[in-house]
Amino acid sequence: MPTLHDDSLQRITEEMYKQNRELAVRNKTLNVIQTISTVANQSFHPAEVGQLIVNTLVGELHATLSMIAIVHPSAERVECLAMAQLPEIIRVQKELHKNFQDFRISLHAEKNSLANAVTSRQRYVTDQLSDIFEPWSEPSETELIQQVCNVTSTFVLPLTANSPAGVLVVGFDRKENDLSAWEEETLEQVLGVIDVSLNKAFLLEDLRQANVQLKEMDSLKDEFLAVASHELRTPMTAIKGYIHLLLKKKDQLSPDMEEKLSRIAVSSERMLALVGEMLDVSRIAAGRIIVENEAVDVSALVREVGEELRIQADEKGIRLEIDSANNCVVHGDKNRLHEVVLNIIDNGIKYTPNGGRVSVSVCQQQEYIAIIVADTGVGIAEKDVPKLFTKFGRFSVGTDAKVQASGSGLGLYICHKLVELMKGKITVKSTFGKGSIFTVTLPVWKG
Amino acid sequence: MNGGIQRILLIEDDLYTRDLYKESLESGGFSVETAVDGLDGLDKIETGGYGLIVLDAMLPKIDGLTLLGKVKDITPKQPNGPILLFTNLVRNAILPQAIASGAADVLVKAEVNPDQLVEKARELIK
Repeated sequence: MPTLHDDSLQRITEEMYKQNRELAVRNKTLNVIQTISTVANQSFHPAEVGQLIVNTLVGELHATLSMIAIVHPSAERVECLAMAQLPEIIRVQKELHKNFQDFRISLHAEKNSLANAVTSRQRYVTDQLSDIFEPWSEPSETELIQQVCNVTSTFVLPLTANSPAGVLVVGFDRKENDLSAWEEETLEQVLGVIDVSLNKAFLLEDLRQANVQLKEMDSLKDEFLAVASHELRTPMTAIKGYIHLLLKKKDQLSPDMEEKLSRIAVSSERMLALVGEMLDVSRIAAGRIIVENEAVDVSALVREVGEELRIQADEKGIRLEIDSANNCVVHGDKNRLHEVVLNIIDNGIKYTPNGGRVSVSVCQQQEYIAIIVADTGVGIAEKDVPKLFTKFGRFSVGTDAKVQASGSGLGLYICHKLVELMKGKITVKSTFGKGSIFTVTLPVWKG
Repeated sequence: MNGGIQRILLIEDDLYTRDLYKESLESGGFSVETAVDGLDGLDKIETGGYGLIVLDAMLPKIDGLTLLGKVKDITPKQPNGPILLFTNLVRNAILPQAIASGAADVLVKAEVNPDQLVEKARELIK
């Protein structure tokens, strides 16, 4: 068996010690990186993320100063994102009546290490804080910062992957050569974590801002729609009113004139209804629709709507059957519910070919009252059902020439929203080519 | 009041709309005076003697709701009847504020025909 000489043992021991030390350094560095990574995930706001990072970094590295500075969107200057909140820093700020949050340096400041680190993407180490804080601070002020914060050496490390670009500044109370291996290693390795964390935070910030802008634009659109709808209603009301006056003078009108005026009247009504729907949509989007919570006799309401639509059904030879049990009272808004029921029955008539049937029934289902409108119309293809209650959710009803549908495609969207606001539900079952069943359920009135 | 014929003050800035409802209300047997903006309306309300005031909401100079607030603070030379807010704004949105400010009712122009305004006028003047 070969034997080991003393010098060999010595070499092995030294090698193991060296490897152990390297492992310990790596381990410590990894611990710091993990800590930084964990704290950086506690926020998604760039300034908060920066603050968490620098505060943690000074603790972990026993540093006396730590700051993250980033390039302003103008690309003209670099400014403080976060400065570690050490007692000494707070004291200096008070004494100087200066806040490091206001720190900014022109990227054209030639003698400034911070500006140079950003533009050249190289690291700098300096023993003079004047290389970093001047001309933002006066020489006497820089001296005070250096003294109070006890800074002997300062590392200025570019954050390479950031958008915006930036630098990490870390100051120590010892010289560069006196830093331990793990501290040096950590300063190198931590940059990647900071890069990733800040990048994520800035991206989210951009998204947040884009989202705010979108909401503002959406709100402007709703406002425009509301104003435009109101303004459109004024002349339309005048048209409708004058036609009404003319149609009252039937004895002075020829049959042809009367027919044409009636058509203008119907068209102006349709246009007013359309404007009203647009107004409703804008109010739904803005959350400004108010529904009353009152006792609504659904049985009476359904009969009333049935009578209103009777002529329309008769014109198409459609049998409109109303089977409405008495004493069906719900929580709801009478006017709005009238609008919903009218819209659904009207759709039933509209989408049912001549000679078909539309039947409406009202019944109690436990805590709810159901209004069921069934038609023998064209039905809805399965793929189209999800579109039904969306804005402008109109779709082809096939080539059935017997069915002529018109409308904005907003009616069922508004109905759906209104029923939801009344704490009810609206559902549909349909067989393409055979007919549809719409069901509106609303809570029973409990006083 | 004017020998049995009720006087109505119609405050409306849109010419065609004003003429339309003036004609309709006159056909309904009322005597109608008009005002073209909120300020003009307020002056006429101060003079008073109207059985009903039909007030638009979106008016130049003083809008309808502000005008309602001002009316509460003035004493007209002759008493006036109720105020009907006659608007194209959404009824539910404006009703609570209008009633709280002293309007007797709110009617949406787009939802009624001229005869229905006349009916409402008769109902309110009773």
